[in-house]
Amino acid sequence: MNNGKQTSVFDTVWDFFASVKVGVTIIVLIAVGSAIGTIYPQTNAIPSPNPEFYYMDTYGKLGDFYYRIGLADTFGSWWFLALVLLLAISLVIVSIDRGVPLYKSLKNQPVARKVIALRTDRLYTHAEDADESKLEELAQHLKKRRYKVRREGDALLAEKGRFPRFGAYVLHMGLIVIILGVFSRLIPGWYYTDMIWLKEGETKTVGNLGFEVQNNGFELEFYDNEQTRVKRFETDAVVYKNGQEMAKKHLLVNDYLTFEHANIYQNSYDPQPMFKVGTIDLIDNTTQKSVGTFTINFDDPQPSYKVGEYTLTMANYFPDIKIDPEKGVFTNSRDPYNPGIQFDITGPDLSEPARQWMMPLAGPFVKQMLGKDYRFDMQFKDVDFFHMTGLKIEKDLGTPIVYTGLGIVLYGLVLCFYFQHRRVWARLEAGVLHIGANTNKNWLGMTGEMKRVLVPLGIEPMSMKRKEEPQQP
Amino acid sequence: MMQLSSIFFGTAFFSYLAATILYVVGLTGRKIKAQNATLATFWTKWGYYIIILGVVTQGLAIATRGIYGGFTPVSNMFEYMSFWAFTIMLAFVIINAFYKVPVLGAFVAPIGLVILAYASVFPRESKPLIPALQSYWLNIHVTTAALGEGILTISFAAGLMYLLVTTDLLKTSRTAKFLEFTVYLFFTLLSFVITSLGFRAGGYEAKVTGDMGEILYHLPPLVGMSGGSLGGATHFLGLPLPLFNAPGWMHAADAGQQLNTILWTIISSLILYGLLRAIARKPLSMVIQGWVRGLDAEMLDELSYRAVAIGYPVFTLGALVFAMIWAQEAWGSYWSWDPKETWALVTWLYYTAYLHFRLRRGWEGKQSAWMAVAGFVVILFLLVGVNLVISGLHSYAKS
Ligand code: HEM
Repeated sequence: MNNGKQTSVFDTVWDFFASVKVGVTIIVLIAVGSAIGTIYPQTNAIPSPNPEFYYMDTYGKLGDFYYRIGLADTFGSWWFLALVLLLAISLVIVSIDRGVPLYKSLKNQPVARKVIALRTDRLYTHAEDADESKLEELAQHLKKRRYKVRREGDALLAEKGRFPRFGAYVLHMGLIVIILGVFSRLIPGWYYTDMIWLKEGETKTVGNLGFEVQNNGFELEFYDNEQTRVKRFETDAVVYKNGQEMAKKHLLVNDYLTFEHANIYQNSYDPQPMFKVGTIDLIDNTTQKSVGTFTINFDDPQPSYKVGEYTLTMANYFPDIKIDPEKGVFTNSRDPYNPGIQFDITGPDLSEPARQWMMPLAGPFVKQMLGKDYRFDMQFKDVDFFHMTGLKIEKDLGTPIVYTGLGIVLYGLVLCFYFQHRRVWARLEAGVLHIGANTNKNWLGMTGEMKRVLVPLGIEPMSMKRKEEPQQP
Repeated sequence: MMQLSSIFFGTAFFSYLAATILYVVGLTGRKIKAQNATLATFWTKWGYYIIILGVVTQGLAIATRGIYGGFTPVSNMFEYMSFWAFTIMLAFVIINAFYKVPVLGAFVAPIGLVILAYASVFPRESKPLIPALQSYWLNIHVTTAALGEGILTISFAAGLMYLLVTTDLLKTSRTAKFLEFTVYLFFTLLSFVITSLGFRAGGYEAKVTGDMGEILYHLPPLVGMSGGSLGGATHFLGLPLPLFNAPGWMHAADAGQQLNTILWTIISSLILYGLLRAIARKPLSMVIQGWVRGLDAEMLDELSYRAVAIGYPVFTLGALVFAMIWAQEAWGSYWSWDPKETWALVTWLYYTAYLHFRLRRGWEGKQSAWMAVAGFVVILFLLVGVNLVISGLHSYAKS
């Protein structure tokens, strides 16, 4: 609303953001930026904690370049957030700049318009030999079609759908609400997200939210007819606070648990199974007979096991064993993905302890390398595996705000596109009834409606005048 | 049930084919015999009826497949693309009932037909749902989004018609060139479908080896994998294949196969296009222009805009709002910038820009028609490109 006297900086900025051209430019820039952000996966979506190597290794030089110039975090980058902020500013300003004058002008619109003006309406017709009763009849017909009709002497204004005229403004408001809802994450305590990995029976504290989650069992099921296709995975989860059980639920992918505004989701699981318990048959290679069985809990193995007359003492335990020509034997993690145990076996017929490896996942080659002719063979009779479950914890107090915004946007869209602001003016002058009509959208619909109003009155219906051809520079 | 579904599906396909022929004959017939307008409308009227038949049978095909699988069949590329074809035809049936522009059918019918054919290039079996998809939101979100995309596609067809009506193709202009190119692109898609389905019907297979293992090609391997031996894979029409390999800097294992498909598509489309062009002995856009001669350009402009005005809110609801609610339920966050949802946003912003451009004077007509036409490419990328080119959380839809 620059009244032209003085252009202050404020006015300049205001006019800048009120311009549709600028608004569309911002929208296009956000679209282009978003598209660029999909070229390679963003850092939060890569299966590696080391992005500085991942992009180079997986996508080569281009990928590395993408990462180095910051596009691997497009949606958290300052320029992207700045664009969204500019959009918000533009939305606020354009709504005030246009909405307020529109509201005022519609509120104060005169009933009577000049006949010359009516004649230039895109929809216009007239009836000769008309009188006051004709005008009244027109008013009645329009009322039946739910027009609000106002009369002033020989002039008439019928209007419907004035509020839908503000559909775009309602919609823009909704967008502002959404943006506010998203940025509410910046308020301390409003947003928390984390991914926790739990073994069976394990309990972990969730960040600073003050509660713990326990995995009481994880189940993984495949389809019968398609053995590689996962049908279902679920965690029996329990929430504890101050040592007390507060909530429990069998979590499924589309079925989560809410506790104190935090949602706990079954997000994923570690596809690599871990060893839980194994029952092992100790076989004497000299006699090919079984000496007996023993059972190992891989999470908590005992120092020694007694089998028949023999004692197996654990000399070394590598839960996730790796054998490297340079680094030797070491464990990759503390989780029993690939256990390797070195036993010292003593017994009545053994003068000195027989040292030997047990590695259930080792191939024949590794066995050979570790070598020697073992006195015993250890065969797994029974083994229980388990998967680590991946739970996502998300607390986002802004979500209801975002949803409210979405609702407003949808309402605005319905107003905008499925309703129209229609106005009909009529004026009786010198025995001629001039009728002009206007709508903000759907001229064909308006033409049809006017036809249904005018034909019963014996007035020739209106046909749309051509718009002037777009001016080509 | 699956068999029944296939029968309905086939019926729908041939209905669309028949409708396309009826429409095109009706329109070209009108050109040849201007006085025989009644006959022409007879043809297009039947074209419309046959499209309705196609929509009904495809609806039945979807329903029976849904009964078989226990969910609305929109979970893989075949199902999704054919559903899109369905919504395009459905949107046309409804819009034509209001606006009565039979010529629109001559454009929409072939588009839907080719998309449906394209869908059948993908594996057709019905697979049970993985956990992420086991939600009633799958039905609601995907069908609504597809409906929006179907309606927006009508705006593309109307926009194209507008450009054909208003452009003087005898003068060389950028618009004329682009129009011809758009027509060529249509034949590109068609050739891709024909070569893929043709070689598949013939049961063609060839093993190609390279640095990254072995891949089974379903088209003769003009392009091999990087590191493979040239001419070492197979022979086709006496030609030792592959002729050359995918460059080593392309990391994906199937880069060679993708390049091969692209090369085949380009070659076959040039042949098809060249043939038609030789028969017509003028640019094909001129031939098509003959069909739309005399149509009211302003009405087409309005129609194209109306399709966006109706489709945009539906798209917003289906592709964004429902998607966000579902994402919140399944992934724990209403938005995670996964490529598919980001491209839904890009598409939405694109049409937002379209709507705002139209607010400006002088942007009705040509410019806005061009935007409607290009919008189709954006939707196509959203539906196909993202799955084939970019993979993310939605990559399960690849199979
Ligand atoms: C993502 C962002 C936006 C969306 C989704 C959006 C959506 C819409 C829609 C659907 C309409 C109705 C169009 C029609 O009736 O054909 C509209 C109208 C409008 N928009 Fe936006 N808009 C956005 C951003 C903006 C921005 C940044 C501006 C700033 C200049 C702007 C200015 C306008 C104006 C001036 C109108 C016309 C209002 C009227 O009918 O009086 N919009 N917007």
